[in-house]
Amino acid sequence: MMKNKKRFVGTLTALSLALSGCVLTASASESSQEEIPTLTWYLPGNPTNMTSDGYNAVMEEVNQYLEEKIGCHLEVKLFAFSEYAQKCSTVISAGEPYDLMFTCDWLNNFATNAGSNAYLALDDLLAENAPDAMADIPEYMWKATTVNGKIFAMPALQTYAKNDGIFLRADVAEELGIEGSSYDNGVNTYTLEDIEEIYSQIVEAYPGVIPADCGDIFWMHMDEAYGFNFLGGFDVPGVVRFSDEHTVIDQFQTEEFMDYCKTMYEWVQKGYAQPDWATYVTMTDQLAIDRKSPDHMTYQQGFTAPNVASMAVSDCGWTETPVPLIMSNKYAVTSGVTQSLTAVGVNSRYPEKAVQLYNLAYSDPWFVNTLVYGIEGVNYTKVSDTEIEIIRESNYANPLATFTLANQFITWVEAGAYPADVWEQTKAFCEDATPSELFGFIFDSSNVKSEVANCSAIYEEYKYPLLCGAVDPESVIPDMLSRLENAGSAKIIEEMQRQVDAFFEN
Amino acid sequence: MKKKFGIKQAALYGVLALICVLWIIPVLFIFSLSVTPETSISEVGYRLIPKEFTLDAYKYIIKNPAQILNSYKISIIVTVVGTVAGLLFTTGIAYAMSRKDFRMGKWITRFVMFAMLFHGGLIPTYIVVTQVLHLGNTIWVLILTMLVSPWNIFLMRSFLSSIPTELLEASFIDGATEYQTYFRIVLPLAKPGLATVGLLILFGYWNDWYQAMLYIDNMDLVPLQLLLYKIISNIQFVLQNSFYMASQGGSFPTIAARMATCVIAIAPMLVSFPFFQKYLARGLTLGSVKG
Amino acid sequence: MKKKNLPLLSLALPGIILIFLFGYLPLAGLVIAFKDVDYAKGIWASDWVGLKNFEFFFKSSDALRVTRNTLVMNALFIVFTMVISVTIAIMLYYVGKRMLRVTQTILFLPYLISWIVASYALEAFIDARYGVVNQFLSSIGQRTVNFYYLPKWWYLIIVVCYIWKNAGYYSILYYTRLLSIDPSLYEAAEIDGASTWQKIRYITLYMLRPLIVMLCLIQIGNIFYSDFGMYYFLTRDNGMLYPVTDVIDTYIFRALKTVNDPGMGAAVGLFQSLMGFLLVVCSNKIARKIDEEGAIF
Repeated sequence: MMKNKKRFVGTLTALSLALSGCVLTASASESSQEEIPTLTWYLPGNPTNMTSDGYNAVMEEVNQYLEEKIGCHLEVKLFAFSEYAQKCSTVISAGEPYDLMFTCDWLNNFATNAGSNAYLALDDLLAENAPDAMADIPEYMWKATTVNGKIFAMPALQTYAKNDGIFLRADVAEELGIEGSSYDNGVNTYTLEDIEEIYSQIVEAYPGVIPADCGDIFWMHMDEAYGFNFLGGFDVPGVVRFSDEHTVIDQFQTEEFMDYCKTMYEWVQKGYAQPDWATYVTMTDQLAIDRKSPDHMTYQQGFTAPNVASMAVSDCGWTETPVPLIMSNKYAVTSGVTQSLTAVGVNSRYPEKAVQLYNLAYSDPWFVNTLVYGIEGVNYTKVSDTEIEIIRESNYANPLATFTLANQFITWVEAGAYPADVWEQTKAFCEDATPSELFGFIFDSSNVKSEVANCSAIYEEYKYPLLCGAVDPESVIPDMLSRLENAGSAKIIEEMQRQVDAFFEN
Repeated sequence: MKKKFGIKQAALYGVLALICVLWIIPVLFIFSLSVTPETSISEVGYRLIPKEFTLDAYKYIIKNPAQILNSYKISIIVTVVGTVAGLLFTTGIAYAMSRKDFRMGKWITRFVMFAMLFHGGLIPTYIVVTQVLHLGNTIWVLILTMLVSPWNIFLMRSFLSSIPTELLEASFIDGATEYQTYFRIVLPLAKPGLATVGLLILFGYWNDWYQAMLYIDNMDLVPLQLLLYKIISNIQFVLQNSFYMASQGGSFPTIAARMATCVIAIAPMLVSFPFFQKYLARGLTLGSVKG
Repeated sequence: MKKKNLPLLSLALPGIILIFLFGYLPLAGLVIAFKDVDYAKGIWASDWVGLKNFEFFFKSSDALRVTRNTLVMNALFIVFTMVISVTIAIMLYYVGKRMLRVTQTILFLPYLISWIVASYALEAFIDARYGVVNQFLSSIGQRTVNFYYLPKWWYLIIVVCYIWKNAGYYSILYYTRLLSIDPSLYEAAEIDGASTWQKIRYITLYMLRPLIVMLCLIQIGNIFYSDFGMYYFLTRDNGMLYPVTDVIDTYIFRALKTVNDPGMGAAVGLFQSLMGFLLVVCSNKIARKIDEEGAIF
């Protein structure tokens, strides 16, 4: 018996020795450098649109090109959107080396990762390695990727300006004699009351129709319309008004929040919105189907820009470009930029090359479009200078999303899905946006982690019922506020104020 | 247990039939949703027998047959190897635990129990698998990580414990070694247990996409469930965040596609089920005990 | 005695090694629960923060509610699945071969269906507008019910769904155990004039007892965990149902969505494991008193 025990222990020891041996040899082999380094780039996209043959063929072309230009090879690690965040957080936590990684405020959270030093500070690398990026990107945008005084990511050029509003189907607008807004600031704008008035006209003119597009929630995007700049995300207490960006307030205690919830409560009572909106809004499958219905008359998707109008056309199956009803000025806020960033891994072995590679994506249409669309004639055919037709049954049928790469404005579009000049329009749309004074401010929640965790958990319980008019706000909001207060909402506001003050001091 | 078909028996069959109907209706709904054109839900509501019929969802999923076939292949390899090896190892450790005269059995039991209650968590496991064992992006990771589970070991142990000790003693008296007894007496007697636990291991392997998601980057090694997950995830993402994405070439089925993936994934399991059921019939063990 | 140890150990060894590799090696990672993770330093070198990662959960006003929901729901699952699947297993024992196969297959099917797919089947029944139940209600002139707005229904709905998905699985386990009962026991009982009911009570249930106790014990060990997918997808993560359906795992998921701190997640996981461990040790003691064979260690 004794003997066996010894042997058992011996086996375990041997095993663990062998394991630690593995670790040692692994780290030894990792430090040996290849002649032409291969950079890894983590991206979200649609991997089921390609096969490994298709991928290899495209990468062969890309790598040949890169070898000449930068002297490196590229390996794209592409994951479906719903697995991407999990994959990245595992890779980051495990300290696995990688070179480039897509990060943003809605997937694979940039602020938290940068705050815990998952990414490499780029300040010393940019000037030398990314001249095009430095030239193309408005200087203020870099502030949005600065955390604790260091630049942790490179922002992509995409629709970074935002305004609030909805789209109305063209024929309905004509029928009711409604003139749309212009994308320029302050021309023919609408208020929430105006929109309610239009809904009442729709209900009268088309009996049985539910006018509101219940696929999205106004409040989440009413930041500009109410003049709010959300500092910690939609679920965390703490905003400033654009009219006074120095004072942090709790948006849930404002009159606007109460008024908004009351309005939505009335809309549901009056039949302007779906009776089961609060649960309906999360049923994206059903929603997508209902949007195609001939009774569907409005469209709302975050903000109101030319490219969103094209989305409306394709999502709802409309024939004409809808009319925008815009409720606010255009603002360039931090979150508009942080929706598409790319960072360099803190353990990257080739940080200079990584930055050079990303820089290429800003300025080199061939490189970006080949990554996205593959090889001409095999994976797509060209229709015009900026329009292509994707060969859907090919083995590399648009697996990457254009907005995740450095410069969406130099990418081609699928003919028919968008107007050929959509990116020019969008670029123009973005360029005259008003930058917020607090542009670049990113809330660092590390001192109030438990408060933020608990407050956002509490708010989520009330979010949809309140914002989708399922409950009477007069009785529910006070309840929610007292629970938020117990969970430390005041402490979050205080911390945010401290950080805002510090931001202006610098 | 021969009995005439009396009222009691009829009632028994009646109750079971009722239970079956209750159980199968949601499954039929899943199937019917997979062939229902989506617009018809908002027109006529959910219906068990769809008003219109379409195979669009299946066509959408199988648009890339080479990939699907390859994923089937991976899934089948992983499942078969995993089930056979898993069953072998699970039974081995469970048998050692079930032997009351094996003193280390008690310690092994505690060792397994502890592993069942405490988990290192996702990230530490990931580090061990990829950086210590270097299994990332290999087919082995799909097989090894799930090979033995404490839950199945305990189940197996309970089946093995029900084998009368007298039979083992008799075998030893006849001069059989431990191995001979294990392979000639214990395993044949444990057939229903083996079939049950084997079935559970098999389904565990077949249904897994999570391990694959964590450890597999290479499209050539993606098992079926992960592939289906990726397809659905893509549809879902495009719906939720349409302004981020370029149009994906017209409309595609959503609910129906989800249901269709379920049908595609579980259909092969229905084929494997009868194989295991062969060993789940009454009389089998009894016969071998007596014989 | 000596002779049999080595062969038995050799049979167990592959399993032991695998559990050691995939179960024990990662346990070192539990230190994350006590660390303020800084990726530049790596997990091991990050700063210790003591019990700070545990604070947020215990401070939260919802800790009590979600713990209660977790325990109540799991207790309902344990009791109902046990009763229903034992009943089904016994019924299966008395039917013919063909019926047996069909029933087993049908009952087992839901076990293969993911919660997300199941949630659509549920929706087909209880959707406010298009669901079968509401179609029926409005066809007989009743007011329709939006189940997704009414928490009181959800004890029932969740338990029914859980049983639908898992009863087949458990009944196969019980049924397999029944197969190993020596039929001579029943024959003897018959000769003594026992009724079917008496046979079930004194032979069948008696023989099933160790397995029932064991399965319950294992489930008790996991009583602080919940099947996240079930609550998340079936309820569509709907705030109005939280009074009933918010459990520890969904709460943690929600709370950490914004903060995204691996340490805080690990801390709650450790708490769940520890509580389960304590409960199992206690219940095992009790089980040992009831039935020597049922205790698991």
